[in-house]
Amino acid sequence: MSNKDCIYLAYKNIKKSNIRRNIFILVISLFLIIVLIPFTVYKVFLKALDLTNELSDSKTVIVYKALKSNIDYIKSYNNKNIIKVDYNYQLIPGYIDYETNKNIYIFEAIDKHTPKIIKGKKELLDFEMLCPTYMAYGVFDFLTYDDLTKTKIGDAYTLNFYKEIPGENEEPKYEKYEYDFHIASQFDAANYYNYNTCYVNSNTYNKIKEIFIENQYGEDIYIYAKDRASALQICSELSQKGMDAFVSTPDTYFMKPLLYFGIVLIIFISVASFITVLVYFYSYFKSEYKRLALYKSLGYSYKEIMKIMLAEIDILIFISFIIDLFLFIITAFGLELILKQQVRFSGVYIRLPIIPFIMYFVILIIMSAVLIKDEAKKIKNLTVRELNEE
Amino acid sequence: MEIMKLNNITKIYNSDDSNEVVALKDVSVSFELGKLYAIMGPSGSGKTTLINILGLLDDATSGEYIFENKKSDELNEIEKANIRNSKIGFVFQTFYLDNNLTAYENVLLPVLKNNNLTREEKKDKVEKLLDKFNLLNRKNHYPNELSGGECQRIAIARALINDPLIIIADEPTGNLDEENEKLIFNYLKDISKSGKCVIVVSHNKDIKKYCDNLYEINGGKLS
Ligand SMILES: Nc1ncnc2c1ncn2[C@@H]1O[C@H](COP(=O)(O)OP(=O)(O)O)[C@@H](O)[C@H]1O
Ligand SMILES: [Mg+2]
Repeated sequence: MSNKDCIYLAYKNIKKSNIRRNIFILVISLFLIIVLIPFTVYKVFLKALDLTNELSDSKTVIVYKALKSNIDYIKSYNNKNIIKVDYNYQLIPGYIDYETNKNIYIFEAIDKHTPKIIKGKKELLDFEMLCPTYMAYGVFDFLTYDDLTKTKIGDAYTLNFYKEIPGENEEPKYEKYEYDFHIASQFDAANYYNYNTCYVNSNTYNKIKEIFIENQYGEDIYIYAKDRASALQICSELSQKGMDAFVSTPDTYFMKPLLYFGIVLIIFISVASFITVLVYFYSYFKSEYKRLALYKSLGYSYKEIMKIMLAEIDILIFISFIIDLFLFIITAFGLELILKQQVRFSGVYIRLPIIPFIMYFVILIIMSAVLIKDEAKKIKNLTVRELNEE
Repeated sequence: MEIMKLNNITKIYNSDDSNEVVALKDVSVSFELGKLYAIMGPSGSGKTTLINILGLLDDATSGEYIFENKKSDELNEIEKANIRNSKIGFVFQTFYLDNNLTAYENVLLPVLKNNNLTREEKKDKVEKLLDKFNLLNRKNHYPNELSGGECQRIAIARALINDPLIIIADEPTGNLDEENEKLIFNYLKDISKSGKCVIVVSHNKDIKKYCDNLYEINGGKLS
């Protein structure tokens, strides 16, 4: 018998809704959801971690205290993974509103330390800016969507910079510097949780920085590394030299347990599925042995009958997975939409954990193919006597 | 021409415990093509047991069953299934149609597993037979939409679809009215005349009018 005919017979039988089948589909879908939850959460964090590792902070080694000995050592320290060493790090805020504390930060566009450009120029000219797609004057923690304004390439942007100068009566006075910028390129604000940071080329940055610089050396030393791995390596090497070095590290202690939990869950669910498939076959035979006896009398061998039974359960498994796939897509879409209403979560991506999804499917298909063998003996014993029972 | 032969067949159920039942005792009989055999006997006398053995669905406890010059115990499960499929047609008391399949699909069922025929050839075969039994206009109906007589005609068409040598009918008219009963017996008679071996198990005395050979079975003994 061809597989096509086998599936056709199975399909005809499944078409008639029946409680056993519905329960089976329900149970398998439920099991699949239970399997998918920890892996989905794990994937969300993994993606977030990926993004975090892309951030400049994760690739910057900070050495506490720009002591002469530290400066001397780092100047002689040769590591090809260092992009730049900043001996006088300055956070430069532009457009400061002292009352509400709102501002925009200007950073130097250092290669590998700027967010991924999604639109516009790669190389910035003087007074050109790389901006987030949405801008706001403030730290993202306190933002709502109303605070955001969409940026557009080519837009002009005027920022004020203030330099504190000693005034009379010990009251500080501010000297205002005004610069015009043009937006030349954009990065995805949501991906970097960053709405108030802009990047300018080194020339422009140094020009603005000059306004504020008093000393040649600042308090700490900032070492920009090529990537996170190099940053960690540099950090450990400097630490070994007795320096107080540091790279910002996201919390990941819960990630591994989450993964292990998922794996334990797959094993547990597999055992439960084993029992479910066993019960399914048991009740299948109990309620449909007459149909099987008929097939047998019409000349189907026990192997062909097993194949028909197998096709049925495999179709049910398939249906369960399709149902869950739809549920997953709808839920993920909905959740992302809800989270996007809140700026701080807008970088959450919910994606199907494909490996556990396929793995559980394969486990079920193999399990059904193995357990159907238990039915062989029962099928061999079927006779036409069964068909004469009313 | 002899097609099936039973030599000293005995069938004992539960032979290894106290519920032992001797369903067939030392049965020796042979069946020929072109004849209609009737087997009559009270309930529990061993008729269905005999059919199961003749139909290669069950093995005898002792004795020898020769099907077309081949001993049944030399056939494996697949060979037995293929013989049931191509050489034997069953008709049951309760018709036993698959309720999930249409009339057409029920008749198709035995040819479905035949990989030598194309889909079109199979369709042709089924439709010709349905036409012969006046069922073509019912082909897309499900069994619960059909009358008892129609169901039994479908069951007979299904038994004939692979053009088998043998038709085995277990109480084929048990659930039918007199008119349909006559119709079915006539069909079976025609089938035997066309050169097939037809074995009918029945309570119904009317079968005597149609059969060529009559056997009585009682307490597992055939006479
Ligand atoms: N699977 C079985 N196990 C035990 N006894 C059985 C089994 N099948 C049939 N019998 C017994 O064998 C005898 C013959 O049964 P059966 O062939 O069905 O008779 P009939 O078809 O003439 O009514 C009965 O006594 C019945 O109870
Ligand atoms: Mg009986």
